[in-house]
Amino acid sequence: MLIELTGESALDTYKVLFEGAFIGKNNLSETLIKSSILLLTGLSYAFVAKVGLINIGAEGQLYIGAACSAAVGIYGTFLPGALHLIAALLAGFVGGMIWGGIVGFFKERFGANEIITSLMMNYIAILVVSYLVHEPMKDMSQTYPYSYRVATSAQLPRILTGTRLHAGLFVALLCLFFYWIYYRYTSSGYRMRVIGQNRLNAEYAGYNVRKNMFAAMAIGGGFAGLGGALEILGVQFRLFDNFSSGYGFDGIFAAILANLHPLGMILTSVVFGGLRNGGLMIQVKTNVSSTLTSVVQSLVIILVLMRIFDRLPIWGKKHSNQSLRKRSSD
Amino acid sequence: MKTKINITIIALLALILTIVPLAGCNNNASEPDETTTVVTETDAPEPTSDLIGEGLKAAMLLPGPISDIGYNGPAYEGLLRIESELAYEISYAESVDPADYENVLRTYAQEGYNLIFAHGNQFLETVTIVAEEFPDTWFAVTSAFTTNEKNISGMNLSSHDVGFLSGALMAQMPDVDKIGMVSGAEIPPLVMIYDGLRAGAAYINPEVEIANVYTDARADMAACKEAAVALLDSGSDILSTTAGTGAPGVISAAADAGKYFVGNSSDWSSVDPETVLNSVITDWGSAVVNTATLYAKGELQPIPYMNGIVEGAVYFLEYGEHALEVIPEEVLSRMDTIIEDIKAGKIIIADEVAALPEE
Repeated sequence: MLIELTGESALDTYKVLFEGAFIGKNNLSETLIKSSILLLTGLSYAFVAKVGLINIGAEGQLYIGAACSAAVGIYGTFLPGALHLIAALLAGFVGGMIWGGIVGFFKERFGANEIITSLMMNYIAILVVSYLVHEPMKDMSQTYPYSYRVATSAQLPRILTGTRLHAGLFVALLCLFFYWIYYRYTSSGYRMRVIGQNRLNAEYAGYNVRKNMFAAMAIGGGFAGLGGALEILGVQFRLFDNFSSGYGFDGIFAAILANLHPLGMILTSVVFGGLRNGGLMIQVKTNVSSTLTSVVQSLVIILVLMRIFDRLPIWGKKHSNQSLRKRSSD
Repeated sequence: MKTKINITIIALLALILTIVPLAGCNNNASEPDETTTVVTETDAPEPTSDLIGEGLKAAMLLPGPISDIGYNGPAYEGLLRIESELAYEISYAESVDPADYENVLRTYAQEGYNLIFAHGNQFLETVTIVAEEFPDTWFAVTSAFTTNEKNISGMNLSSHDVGFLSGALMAQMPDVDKIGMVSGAEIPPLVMIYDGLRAGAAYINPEVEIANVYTDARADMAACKEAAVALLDSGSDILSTTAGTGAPGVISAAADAGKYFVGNSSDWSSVDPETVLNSVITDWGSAVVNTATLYAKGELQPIPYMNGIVEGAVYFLEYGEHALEVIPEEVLSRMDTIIEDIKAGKIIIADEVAALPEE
């Protein structure tokens, strides 16, 4: 109805949204590029959520990961071929890990509330990146504060010609696979899950709750950092101010929406990535303004959130959610 | 009990939210003829004689919202003008994220847009990549001083012209021996305004001194006022600035000292009409129209274009009431002569700037 007020057809707008998200080689690849980063930031939330913590610092971890991988990508040119790329990706992971680890450390040592610390760390990370691109890493040939360009040897190879779809998709899927195996089949993953479901019980069973929480925060941060690495090494090739546009936060929605389920997260990430890209296409192909586009995107998110996912049997494991709620109200 | 209420609320919300877009669709059936009539109505009274853009499509990428005053807004106005005056078919994308530059550019090119404006130097790198793939599409990049020499044009406003006009006015004001300039960051366009200002002042009177202070891109009003006060203390008689948002600080310093101010980029007289003599306007809209006109005529070259006084993209506003009282009659008429001379090619600002002594 809002759209109608601006004189555009609402139905057409939604059609453009859908087509922009999923129809055509180019659109689909753009969506997948965005989805893989959302998947990683979502994993950052999910991995930590399994031990009963809430990490909303994916955005900051992504920034630091991006900065680290950009640094290696730009200055690590002495590394041969594929090793350079791997080192740059690893740097992203380690950067995010450190940023997540700091939050984990405060939680472990001082019991600081991880919601607050992880949120605050976001701002620090964004400003750190801003400093880096204004001062030490600034490319002097550019008017705008950009870092130097990442060397070609550290750029993620494109996997579909004529589009920007890059190998980062596999990196994201690999991480998802790890997440799934880890919590499903390994004993340390089991321990973490027990901690998440009942901390007192886990302590009673002799698990080192604090260590595990720290480890989960660090690994979760690593995933988000890797997301930042993908953005820099696969799409942007330069570091600059505010490059992320909220991937960290959208990833959290995607993870919650999927109830932390690995397969569900693939689906929700693709839906969210599609919304981002489809929203962009609304702007490009119709005369609907960007702010209204955001409204449409949010509306779709709310609709998707309420109508579809709650009714599908795979995500119907509401009891785990409710037991969490019950405990917190006790 | 609680969960039950929750479910009902959610169900209700869901219902409302599904109805909202559906209602939109229902209206759809009745509304089209209404909108189409509106369109034809606006199209009909267009008296413009040559709709040379007929059948051409132009798109524009903007880094910020079209509602701003200084930068994106004027460019968007220009886009609207090429629609109404030249009959281009237009589309735009505002507040485009850097991650999406390539995607949006490529989409426009694939959709068959002939001329794509990218409003900002930050687009240049991506445009260069995409322009390779679409040799038949033409790109115009704002503030690009280099191009690929195939299908990219640079669209610039002549910062020298901006400085020249303000410098010429300031140097002519009575009792002005020293001009104070609060520059923004030391980046090419702002340095060029400063150089133009020196040239303009030197054109009037080579003896006029100019004192300049560079601030940085994040300089706020307080920082700019401080710089301006320092300039006044060192004997400046009139002030100007390129510090953008910090300009009100400079104006307020001038007002406190009873001195005048000449602005640029947008109309600053609303801040203090007693102090602001006039502002040199930089009109991105005219630059857009000029580029689109050249393209439609098939004359657009892959070079960086300068849009200045001659092209009608840089000009003084009408003088305000107070300004007319304090600016002597002969100054006003000399300014008019200077502008006419520039338009007639009798004064070439680039030469004046080149003739400046090294600082």
